[in-house]
Amino acid sequence: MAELSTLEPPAAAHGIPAHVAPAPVHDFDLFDNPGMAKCPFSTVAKLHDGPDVFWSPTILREGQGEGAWVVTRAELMRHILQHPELFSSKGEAGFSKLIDEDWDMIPLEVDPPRHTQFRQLLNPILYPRVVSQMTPGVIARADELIDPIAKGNGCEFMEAFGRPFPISIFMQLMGLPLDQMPIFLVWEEDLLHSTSLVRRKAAAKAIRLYLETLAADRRANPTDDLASLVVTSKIDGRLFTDDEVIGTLYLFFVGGLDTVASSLGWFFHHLATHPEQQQWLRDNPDEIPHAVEELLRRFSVVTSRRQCTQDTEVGGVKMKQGDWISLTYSLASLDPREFDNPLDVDFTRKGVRHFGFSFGPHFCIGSHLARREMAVALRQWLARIPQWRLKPGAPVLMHGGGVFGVERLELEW
Amino acid sequence: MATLTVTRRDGATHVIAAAEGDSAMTAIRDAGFDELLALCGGSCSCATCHVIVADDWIDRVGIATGDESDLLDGSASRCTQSRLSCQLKISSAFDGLAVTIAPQD
Repeated sequence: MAELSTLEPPAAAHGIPAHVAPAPVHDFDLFDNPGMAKCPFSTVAKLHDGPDVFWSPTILREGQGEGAWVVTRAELMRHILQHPELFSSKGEAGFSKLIDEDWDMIPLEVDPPRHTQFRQLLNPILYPRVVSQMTPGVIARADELIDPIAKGNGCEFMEAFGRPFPISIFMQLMGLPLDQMPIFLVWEEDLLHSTSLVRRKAAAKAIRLYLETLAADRRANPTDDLASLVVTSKIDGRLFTDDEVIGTLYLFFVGGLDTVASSLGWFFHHLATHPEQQQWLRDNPDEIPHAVEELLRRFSVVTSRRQCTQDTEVGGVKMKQGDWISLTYSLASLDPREFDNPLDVDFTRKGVRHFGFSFGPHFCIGSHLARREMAVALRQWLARIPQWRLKPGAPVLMHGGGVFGVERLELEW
Repeated sequence: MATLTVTRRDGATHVIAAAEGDSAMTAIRDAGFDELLALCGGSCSCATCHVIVADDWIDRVGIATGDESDLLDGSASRCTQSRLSCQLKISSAFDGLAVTIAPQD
């Protein structure tokens, strides 16, 4: 990719920090990028034709700094994610900054060794055993959503199933009444996908207020749900502070909703456009869990980031303390140095070491539940809905951003 | 340096070198056995580095406890000799340790 190799005149003239030269510079934006509406995954995969590390002046937005390093290779991402002492995740998501507050999302925005303490306390919330106990409820929610869908011969997948399904599971986990789901859907949509900063801020505030009220209620009347566990947990022999409670509940809110919904959008789109693979899964339902891993690899939706805690080097490129590094996990999951024909979905692929749940100490705390939700969604749909395909003439709307997603997916059968 | 005897999913057995202080997971992956996914890279979070320790070794190695045991609950092939190989630190006392990579869940 010729445009990646040099940029003249000297970088500083373009507002690029002086230390970036002589590294390659390339405009790459996850949000404002025409390729994202066509297909974010094939758009980012083209970066593998270029350097392993480059500087993008346009990758961050909304006061989160200007420009960041982009790392395109799995091996380098493993190095970064495995060394939190060099690459900190503090401020990684930045939702508190959005509402002019300063708390960390816990455990994601806390580095070891403090992170390890929080993680050990919170791990039991989503242990495999807990997920097994939740599974009948997960299946019941999937079936309730499929009931009306099964009566027709088509639906808009995201509205009918993709978005409400993970939210309803989250509400089950938090012990919240399902009739509040429409509010959560609006908040989530505004916070994560609105192009209006005012709406994003309003949603961030509304969620914060809701979680604060919830925490106060569970302090007064603890039950066996996640919120109660958070408000009664102790670290260093004391209860969590208000900020720690909000930071933890916020992470569970934003972490488990959009990611699962977006993943389901890609999975169901893929099966709609690959009828032979859809049929194979119908014929081999026991293979669904492994198929989920391959789909997680092919469609790793999240982009995270880390900040250098000191001057360091990644892939031969010198970085300075304070530099941000953008980690688009699909770049690692689609790295041709790791996988043959990475853009092909191959349900018989072995050694699917994907980045769908990140890597290292911040490996997704909800991975066991997420996998179960995805497998249940596929299993129940395949059992109850005939071969689905894209509805002719209805465009599929895709978007880039911090979580690659499908906005609109009209299916018919 | 210690040796580790690893039985793969296809039944083939290999003797590999393992540096003291490394985890068995690291040694197995460094030997090129990609079927041991170790998705999280050794953070005791993902349960994709599940191995079954040989009968005559489990007493010396010890059974899984705490987080490790709770994570192994998610595996259909969980047994009393199940361990997450990221939690097995190689030392001279473990020279000759024999493990089988657990079936894919």
